[in-house]
Amino acid sequence: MGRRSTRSAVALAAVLCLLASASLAGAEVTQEGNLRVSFTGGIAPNALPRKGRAPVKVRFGGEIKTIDGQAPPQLREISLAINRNGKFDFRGLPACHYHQIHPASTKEAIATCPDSVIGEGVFSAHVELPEQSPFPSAGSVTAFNGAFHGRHVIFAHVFGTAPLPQSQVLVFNLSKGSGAYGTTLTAELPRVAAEWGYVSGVSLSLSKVFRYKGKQRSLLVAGCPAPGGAEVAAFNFARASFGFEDGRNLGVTMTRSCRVKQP
Amino acid sequence: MTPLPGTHRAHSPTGLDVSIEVPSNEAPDGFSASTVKRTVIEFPEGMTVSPSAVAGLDACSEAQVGLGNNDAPTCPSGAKLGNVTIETQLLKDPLQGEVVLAKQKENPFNSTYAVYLLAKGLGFYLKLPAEMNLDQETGQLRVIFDNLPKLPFENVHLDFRGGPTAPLVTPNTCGDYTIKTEVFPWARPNEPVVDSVPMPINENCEGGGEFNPRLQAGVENPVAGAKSPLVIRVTREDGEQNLSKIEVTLPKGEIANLKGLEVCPEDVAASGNCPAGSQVGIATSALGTGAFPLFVPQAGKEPTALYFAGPYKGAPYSLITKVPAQAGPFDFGDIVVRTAIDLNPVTAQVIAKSDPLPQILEGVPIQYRDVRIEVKKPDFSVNPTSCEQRYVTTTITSIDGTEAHPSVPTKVGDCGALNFGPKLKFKVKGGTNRGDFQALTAILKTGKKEANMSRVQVALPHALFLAQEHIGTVCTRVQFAADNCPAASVYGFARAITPLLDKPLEGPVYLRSSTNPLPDLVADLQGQFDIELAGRIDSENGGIRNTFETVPDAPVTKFVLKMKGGKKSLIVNSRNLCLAPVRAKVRMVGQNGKRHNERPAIQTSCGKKSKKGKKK
Repeated sequence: MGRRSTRSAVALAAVLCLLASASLAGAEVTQEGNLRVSFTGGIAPNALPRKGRAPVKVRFGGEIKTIDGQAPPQLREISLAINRNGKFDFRGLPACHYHQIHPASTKEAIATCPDSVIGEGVFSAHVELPEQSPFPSAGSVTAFNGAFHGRHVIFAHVFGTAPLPQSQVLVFNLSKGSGAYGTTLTAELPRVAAEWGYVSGVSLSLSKVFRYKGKQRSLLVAGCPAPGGAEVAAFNFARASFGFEDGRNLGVTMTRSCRVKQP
Repeated sequence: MTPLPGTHRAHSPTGLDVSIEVPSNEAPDGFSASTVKRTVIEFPEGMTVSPSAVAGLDACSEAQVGLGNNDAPTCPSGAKLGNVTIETQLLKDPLQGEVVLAKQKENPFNSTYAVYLLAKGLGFYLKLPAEMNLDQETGQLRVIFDNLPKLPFENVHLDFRGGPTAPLVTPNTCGDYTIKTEVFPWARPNEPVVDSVPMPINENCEGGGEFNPRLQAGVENPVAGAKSPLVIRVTREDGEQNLSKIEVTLPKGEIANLKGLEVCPEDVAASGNCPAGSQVGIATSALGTGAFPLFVPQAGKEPTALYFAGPYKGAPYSLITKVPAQAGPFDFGDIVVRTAIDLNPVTAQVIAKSDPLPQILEGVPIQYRDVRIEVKKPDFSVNPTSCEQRYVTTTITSIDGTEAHPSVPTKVGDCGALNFGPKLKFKVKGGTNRGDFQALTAILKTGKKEANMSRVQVALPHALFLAQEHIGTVCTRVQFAADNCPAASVYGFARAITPLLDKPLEGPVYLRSSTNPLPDLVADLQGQFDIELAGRIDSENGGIRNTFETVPDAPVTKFVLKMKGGKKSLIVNSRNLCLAPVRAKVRMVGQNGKRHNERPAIQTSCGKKSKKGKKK
């Protein structure tokens, strides 16, 4: 390979890396009627082994708006199907129970199930009571490895003090995906402030490195599915969807890229 | 005929000089002038009979006059209104006499107002009745002498007394007025000699038509929390527009003790014939124009009264002011004015709105100069327990619809002598585990001789979170005002016991829309009066906090707030309540400025369960 072709390959790789970075930080936007959802998400680190898997952190989020300023419908279901190259490994993680962390502040919930914490995020909502100025309600999200009615689940514990102290727990059921997707997380959301509120945004990142039976383990592991010779691969990172009370269901396939981590 | 008022000043009592001249024909071959059969004097609108004139006045009956006989009249001296002089060519000396007031309804015209012209001649008495017609709506006055004797005279001069108790009052505003006269001769009774006599009113024009009523108000014993008579007085100057309606808002905390008070039955309320037990005060009025208005009640006449009555014009209570319209020789029955009594539901301020005041009575315009209400039933009026300066405010409306808003500051003292140490207890009913919903009960008790509550703030412990999933709905302010809150917006019940009412005030507790970031928690207390107690909801150090910023300055011996539990509970445990005591943080401020803070433990069922277990 001549010097010129080498320079071209480096330049291409750099462009691909930039594109990869850009896609990780970017958002997929989908709209139906006046309702618009911006999904964000990705994995980190971006450099992953071609063969085998390495610990990763998965980030996922969604922002809900309307283009005409009306209040969005209530978000009632979140679904996230993760590419089968990413694997959950819950072995050795203690399971927390619903009643242990709800209701509770973040601090109390973590203190109750410290070893079950597997992630964190934020949650925002707006409450528009009749004749009342709308006020935001924001909270922190803490993810716990959990057990609920005999099932293995992920709890997303939401706690906020504004405007009043309140907590909520979203139960993400885990199921096997199909095709390109290995694991699907699905949660049904309760109504926010009865019929007067709406979720405006939610984000969650999952990661946990822990030791079990003398070995270091990670909640999530993934590899880079780049074909032989290629240093960069683009893949369908996840299929995300939000289901709303009015029947609308907005979803996207989030495409991300990775680069092969050199041994 | 030339009727001339004694003054050109506006809105002033005035006497009157009336001269009727019938010139005799001196020509030897000429005809004599006809004798006068009837005279009519019509005064301009605005020139009316003065109520000030009747104070101390007396009247003469037909019997005392002796119409139809030649006996000397025996009218009381107090009945005299003026003098009369009659010059006739038949007599050397003029006839001298008096003009006296005739008794109401006991005169040849069976009218309310009449006068007699009584003059003594040589061996005879001239007795002439004259009718006074007063327009029942405008008070315009017409004086009619009819069927006069065929006595030839050259001049009749009537001189009605002047001064502050003169019988007439000039118009309120300056202008060129005219007095219309008609003289009917016996010769041609249908062909009167009509004339208009100018009556310029061009002095004392200032103030005519303005409206600047003044207010005085206060309590006799200005000690905080004391029971004391209350006086409210509205005055207006001569010439200003007359009073029509009076609305008074008492200062915060100036309230009434209705416990055991008899209420005037509705079937007699309109007549003012209320039982003595319902009387709470008296009323005094000064009516008329000039320096000596007529004060009602007059000595020796029936007293006035202020009665407490039932619902009126949407208000839960009313006051009935009964003023016997008796003055001098006149008795016009009772003037009854009803005043709706309502309470500001937030501040518990008493708001009294009078009906329109009568403007004319039997043709006599009532110019209100001084209206004084004295609420003096013992133990009825209760003073505030706050010593801050507060105000009696009013909206006083004139007959032309002009509004004035005079107010006066009021202040009581000795607030420091009042204690302030109410006790607030809490208990929750429900499971004690994390996630269990709670029915919260708060009980406030106050002691005797304590200042009333001004502000109370309760911060619940961090162990109790908002159960947001149970916020079914809230009552909008529009719905609340229409008393139409949805059932789902009821989250509790409240009851307030006050020593001033026969029954407790009680009602539902709503979440109601507000201008605060969160809906307010509102106790809609209903009973003899309706009170709404609104608490602002927010958080403090991660705990739910409720603040009642405006608590009425009224004594409450016990207040109970019960929030619903179960599926309507707004409170959920964020931890096991039995692990450690849960305490509320209470900050209370009395109306006298004293503060009382507490950290009461919230009573749970933890102890009870273990007790039961031990028994088993």
